[in-house]
Amino acid sequence: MNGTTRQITDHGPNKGISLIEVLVGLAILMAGLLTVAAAFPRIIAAQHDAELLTMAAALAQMKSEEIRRDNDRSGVYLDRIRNLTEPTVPVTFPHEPRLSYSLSGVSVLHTGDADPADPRAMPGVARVIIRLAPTFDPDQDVIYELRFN
Amino acid sequence: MSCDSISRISRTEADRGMSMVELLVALTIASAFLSGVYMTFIQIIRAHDAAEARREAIRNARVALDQVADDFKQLDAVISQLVGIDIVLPFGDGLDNDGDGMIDEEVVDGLNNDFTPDSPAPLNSDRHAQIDDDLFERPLFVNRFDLGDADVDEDVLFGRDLVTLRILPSVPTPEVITKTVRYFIGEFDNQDNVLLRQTEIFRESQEPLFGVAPLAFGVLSFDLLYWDPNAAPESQGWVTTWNSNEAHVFNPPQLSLPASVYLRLAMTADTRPEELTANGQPVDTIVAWTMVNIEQTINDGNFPRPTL
Repeated sequence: MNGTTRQITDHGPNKGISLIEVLVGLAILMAGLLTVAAAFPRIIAAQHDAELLTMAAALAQMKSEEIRRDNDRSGVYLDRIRNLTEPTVPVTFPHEPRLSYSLSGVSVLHTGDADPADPRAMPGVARVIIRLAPTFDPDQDVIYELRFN
Repeated sequence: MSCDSISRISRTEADRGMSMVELLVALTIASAFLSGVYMTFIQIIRAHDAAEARREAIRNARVALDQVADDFKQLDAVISQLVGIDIVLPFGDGLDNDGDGMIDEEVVDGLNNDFTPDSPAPLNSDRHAQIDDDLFERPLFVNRFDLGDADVDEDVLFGRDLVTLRILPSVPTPEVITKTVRYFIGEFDNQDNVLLRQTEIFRESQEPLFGVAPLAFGVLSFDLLYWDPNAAPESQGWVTTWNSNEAHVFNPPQLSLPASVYLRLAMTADTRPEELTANGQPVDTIVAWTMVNIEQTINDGNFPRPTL
């Protein structure tokens, strides 16, 4: 009898997995999978940003071309945009509600602190400034600036 | 004997493997968990594929738009002829893009085709940046519908416009005396819906040189508008066709080329097979557009400009 008992005890180290162990194992697996899953939204967000930037470039070009065409005979229209010391109130593009545009004579993106001769920071140059629209991003981050003459 | 037996059972219980019930419970938990993980991953992958399709479509559209715009914006050549034909298909993307309860009810023409008295007041959709107390962007179109306002061309039928440019180099060579460039949606490499750039280069004492290059695949709609400069500034606006060969019957100042060209591309961004999204079936698209001036016209002293 004693012999039998010992035999079973000997099998102790080879016993099956307990429920707790299974759950711990699953928790570790889940942590791993969640890490992988968490990367996907970031990738999608990065693609989204690239998409908006591409649209922003085309829309800024459209606005600048429109203004050059609509300029009056003596150039007052373009001059008044050049002389704007702060951007106009952003207007949301009706066909691209994630983006809005302002006109300005000064830069928002480039302050010229690092290099005062930076042409991107120069005041008195007409600009189209593209931001994320308020309904899309409450911070209304500036994503693109286009200077034109 | 009885003592021995009890102690044997208790030791056995402590050391035994999983019971069938435990195994089933564990399997149930694991399968519930794994199916949750599976569903999440499938959703993530779908979202990723859709985002990827959109990004790819936008990138292709942008490259194609830049290429077309470059041909209109000739810097060291002259556009001697421009013929634009407007073709409207009987279907669009099959979706109510502007949420007015109607599907594909407009055409790309720079006008408001779907405004009804029930729509918001024109002022609400009149979009202009305010430059000064008394000066707005697109000043001649304040309180009037035009491209750039909401309600204008927001939910349109697809177009298959065709445009041909004849270009004279500023210094003709025997290799290029003149060339024509034509843009249209056609078939390339057994694929439909390809935006093509067809060129024909006329050379001295040789046969013309033909070429066709695909600019973008999956192009469902290609639309152009032309800004007619042959009117007083306040009466200028977009037209859907252009034929510079008829310049002699244009209104004064009879400029043969438009002042600007508006380019609009709708590209498929659908991840489903093409046959499921063909001809009027709802299809996910991205729309990219831009505008380019024809420098010859806007630099012409006769181009009617406003006085502000």
